[in-house]
Amino acid sequence: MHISEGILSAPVLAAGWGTAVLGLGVGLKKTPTEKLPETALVSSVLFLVSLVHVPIGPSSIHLTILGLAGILLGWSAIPGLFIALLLQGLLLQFGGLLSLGVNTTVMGTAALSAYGIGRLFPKKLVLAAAFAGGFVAVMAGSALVTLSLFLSSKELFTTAALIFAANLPLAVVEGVLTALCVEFLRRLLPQYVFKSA
Amino acid sequence: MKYGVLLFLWILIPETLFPHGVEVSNITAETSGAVQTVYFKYSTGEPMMYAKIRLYPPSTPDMEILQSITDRGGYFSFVPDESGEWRITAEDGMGHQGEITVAAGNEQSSEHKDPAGGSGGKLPVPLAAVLGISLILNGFGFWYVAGIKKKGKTHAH
Repeated sequence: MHISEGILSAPVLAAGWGTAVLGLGVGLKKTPTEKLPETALVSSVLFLVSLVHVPIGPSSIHLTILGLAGILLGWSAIPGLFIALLLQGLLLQFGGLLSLGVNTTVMGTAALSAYGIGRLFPKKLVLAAAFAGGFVAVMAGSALVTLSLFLSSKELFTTAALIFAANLPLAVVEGVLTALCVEFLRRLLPQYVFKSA
Repeated sequence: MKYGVLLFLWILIPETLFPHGVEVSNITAETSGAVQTVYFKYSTGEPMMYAKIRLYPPSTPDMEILQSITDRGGYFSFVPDESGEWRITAEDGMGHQGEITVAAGNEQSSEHKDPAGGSGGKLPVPLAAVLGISLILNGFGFWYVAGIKKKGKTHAH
């Protein structure tokens, strides 16, 4: 879900950084010391997950786990995401420093939307909530990537629309895997599921 | 069966159509006689296949004279008809782009520019992954210990 350097316009980059700083401020404020170990763990997985490509035919897919990050961390997902994205940019050349703000905003919003949507479900439907969270996270992220590209250049409208549509199957896969992970964690460590602020 | 194949193809689409986790880097140029061949790949090692190519000659560096695409292996070849630096850009339409300058007519030399911030001194991916995880865990570890100490001092007072 990274957007490379040199694609977005200056106003979009500036808006992305502004929103990212705001989100980071709230995220840091809502991250107590006790929550740092799990934030570190999720941040590590976020850093690594884009490297794990599953080859399918001539292409491959990889997951984002943004929904799971949101469900487990809530607002703390934003500092975790920011650090993971910063290191991905510096060490792996995924994204870049200028687009870091937009990428943090896109993925942070995706994670938070998963958390928010999941909380709307009754407690009995935790699996449905997790699926919805994983699904919505990918679609929200896609929508924001699409919007960022479109706002940067109107010529990218067709591409942007295609990107959004093409992520529907990934969103379904991500939803299913998020539900499986949440079910596993619910049995093992129920205190971490949908409990963050 | 028909729908199964369609579903299978649909699942393949995101990697090629969505700019997640793949960036342009390590662009290299190779020369073979008069033919210049450039190679574009993502930092994951996958070739930048069927990317849109724009070719800028030395005489009109801001005006492209050719639009084409890379082949399935991420390669694009052309025969320069004037000496100087030829600029070639590749764009996959999904937010990834690469650029390379090839010197033609002189000795075989070239330099590459990676808009994603890549450089020739890029770390190997496994090493970068281990370093990244180490930095994250150690960074959060220090933060955690500092937070606990701060809390301890507050309680002591």
